[in-house]
Amino acid sequence: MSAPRSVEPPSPSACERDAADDARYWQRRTALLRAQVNAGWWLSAWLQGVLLVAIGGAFAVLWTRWQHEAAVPVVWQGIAGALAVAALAAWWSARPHFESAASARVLLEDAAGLHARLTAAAAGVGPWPARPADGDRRWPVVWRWRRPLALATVVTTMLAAATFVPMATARGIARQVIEKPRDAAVVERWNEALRRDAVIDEASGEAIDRRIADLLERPRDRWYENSSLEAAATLREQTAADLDTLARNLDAAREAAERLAAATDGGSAADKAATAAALAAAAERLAAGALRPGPPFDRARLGAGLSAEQCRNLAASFRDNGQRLRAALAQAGGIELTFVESKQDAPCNACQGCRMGGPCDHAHVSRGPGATDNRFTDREQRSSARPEQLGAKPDADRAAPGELLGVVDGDQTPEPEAFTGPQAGGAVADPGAGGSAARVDDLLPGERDTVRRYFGQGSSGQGSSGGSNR
Amino acid sequence: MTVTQSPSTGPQITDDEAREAAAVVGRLRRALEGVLFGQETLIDLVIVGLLARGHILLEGLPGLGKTELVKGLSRALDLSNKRVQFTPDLLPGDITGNPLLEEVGGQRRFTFHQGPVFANILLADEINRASPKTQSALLEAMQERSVTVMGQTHALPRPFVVLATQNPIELEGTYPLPEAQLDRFLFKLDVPVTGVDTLERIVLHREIGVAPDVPRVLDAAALDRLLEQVRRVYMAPAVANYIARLVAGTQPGAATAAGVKFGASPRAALALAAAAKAKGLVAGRVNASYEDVRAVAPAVLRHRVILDYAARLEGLSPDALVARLVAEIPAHDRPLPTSLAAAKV
Repeated sequence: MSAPRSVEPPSPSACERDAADDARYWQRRTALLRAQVNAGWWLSAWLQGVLLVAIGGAFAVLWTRWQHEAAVPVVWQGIAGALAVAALAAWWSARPHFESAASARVLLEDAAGLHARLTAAAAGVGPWPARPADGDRRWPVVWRWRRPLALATVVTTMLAAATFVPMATARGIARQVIEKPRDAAVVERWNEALRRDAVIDEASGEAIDRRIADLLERPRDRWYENSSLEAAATLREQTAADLDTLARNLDAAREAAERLAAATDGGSAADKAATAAALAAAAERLAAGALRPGPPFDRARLGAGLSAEQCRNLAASFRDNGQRLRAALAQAGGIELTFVESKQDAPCNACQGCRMGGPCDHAHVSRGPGATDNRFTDREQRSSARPEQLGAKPDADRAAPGELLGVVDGDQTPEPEAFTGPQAGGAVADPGAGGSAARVDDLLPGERDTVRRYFGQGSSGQGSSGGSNR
Repeated sequence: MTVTQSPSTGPQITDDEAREAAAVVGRLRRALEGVLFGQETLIDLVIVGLLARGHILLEGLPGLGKTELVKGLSRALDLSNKRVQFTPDLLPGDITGNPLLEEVGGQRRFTFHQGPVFANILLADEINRASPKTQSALLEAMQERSVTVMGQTHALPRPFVVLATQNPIELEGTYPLPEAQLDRFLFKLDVPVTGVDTLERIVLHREIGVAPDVPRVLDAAALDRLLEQVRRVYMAPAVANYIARLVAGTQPGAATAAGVKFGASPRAALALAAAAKAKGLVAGRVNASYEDVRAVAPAVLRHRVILDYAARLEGLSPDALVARLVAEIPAHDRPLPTSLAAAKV
């Protein structure tokens, strides 16, 4: 009979090692659970911040794309920074909810059915429970991903929409701004060039500015109406005529100065006096013109008292001024001056004045091939014409009591050349325009203002003066 | 390791002591299972109540073995037991004992004759049939563990446990125990009706008029040692917090106390703690746990929670309320974040 085999108990060191392993295992599980719960608190708090940042970020992206598209990457960096700040703030605000180790142990041991042995062991009562052989799958909490995923989807969609939704930029909108009428822009360009090169004096430049400002004072959406375009064209033509006059006057003054220099060198006294008078007259025209030359000159010193050298210098000055005028206008473009070839005040036979047998007042500005009578009747419809020139009747509102305003015999006096409408049956005089709009558009700017003032006053005092207006 | 020590109960119980106590209790359980078939849960709770130094109110139909359980318990523990059948004409002196005029040595004097309350285990059968005055006399003895007659206080034997029974039917001519007196009972246990298998075992192994043979498992000294060990079972602060939240959850106004008219008292919290400790020791552990609290909560709370009329009309029972309470109040006292959910384990 063999001796009973004794089973040796495990050595104390092995038991202690197992107990230490168990303790480490459960402490690790507790720490893991605690970290998960704390992460959950942090995530819950952070998601609120993420939503706020996403809303603000989407608006920031949209605004930046609208105003300054190049800065969009900076906005994205800002969003990332805000998310990081929100993460820190979430951690700070979630701290009071963070799980302690003892509380996490309770959660773990209750879910795992450990009968509070973790808490007891942590307090030094009893041993730590043994590790489960096949791993403890009883974990007390599970993630709820639905809400974070839904929020992430909303946030992503929001930011993606703000990033990729087609939209116009502010610069693009600005490009749609109504530009000035071409003629007004041309005049503006001339004025800038002339003032830059000191071809005209400051007062003349300001006068042109005022004319342009008056033209552009009306609403932008009416800049391209017929009346506005007509007014701009008129301004351009008028300015071109003034420039042409200035150039001719400069040429005339130069020639007079050169002749005076020649007369001073070897001419007779009579020639000298005559050329001095011509120079003074030319200077007078320069000073009286709508546009005056840039460098002011003393008209009182012009005359017979000038030496030949002074006359040559003066002629050079006028020549230089004229050259600068041509150079500036050539650079500004948009003008075709006729004075370049003209050496004297010859009739152009193209302007209204020449055709009407009067003085040439067209400043040699070409209106293109062919001749167009810019009139409806014998009376010219020019805005610059004064009422007495047009043969208009005196204003009845300004007439003194008993004043004879006119005499009529009651006979119809139709204008022989007046437009009487389409003569052929079925023809249309002005397709596309009709009614009051055509009437209004056909008015010149000054006439339109007069009509507006008249009806403005008439509406305010209609009760008392309605009958007389009619 | 840090061994905590309660100032009132001495050092915490050791693992070896707990295992030894569990073995003793296991023997007691097996002895009682030989007396009362098919009532393992009831036997467990009776043992837990006994170890928690509590009195137990058993409610059940006649003939379910309540008296046999008490007799078997007294025999297994080698303790004295008495049985009092409560009737409306029962007087307090019939329970506590009476002074009798006797002539001793040529002198007449009153001599106190102990009543049936002077026993380790007292079976108060159909306690709700006695008058309130008599009920009060017993309940005072239960609370004070002493009897005072004619100015003389007589201590009751230790341990002293009352197992009272009451019948849920035939309520005519009964005096229901007031809530304040019900609170003196640690447990109120329902004795369930046995099933077919259990009845078959009873028919096969029992005979009318023949008491079952019950081995002696413990003596009074060993029981005292067990009771002392129960007091040394570790009650973790987290478990105490759970007990406190459970009891507070029964108070009217709490979210979990819909339909409650009066909630459980602080005595209920003490009872839960003592019963959880005893339950832990019965399981061989050195500490009380949340599971122990949940296991004893129905027995401790069902007679301490008074439902209002509307709740009773809707069919809500104290047991259902306690079950709801236990289900809704987790051991972990902190809420989880919205991004996490409690796993179903």
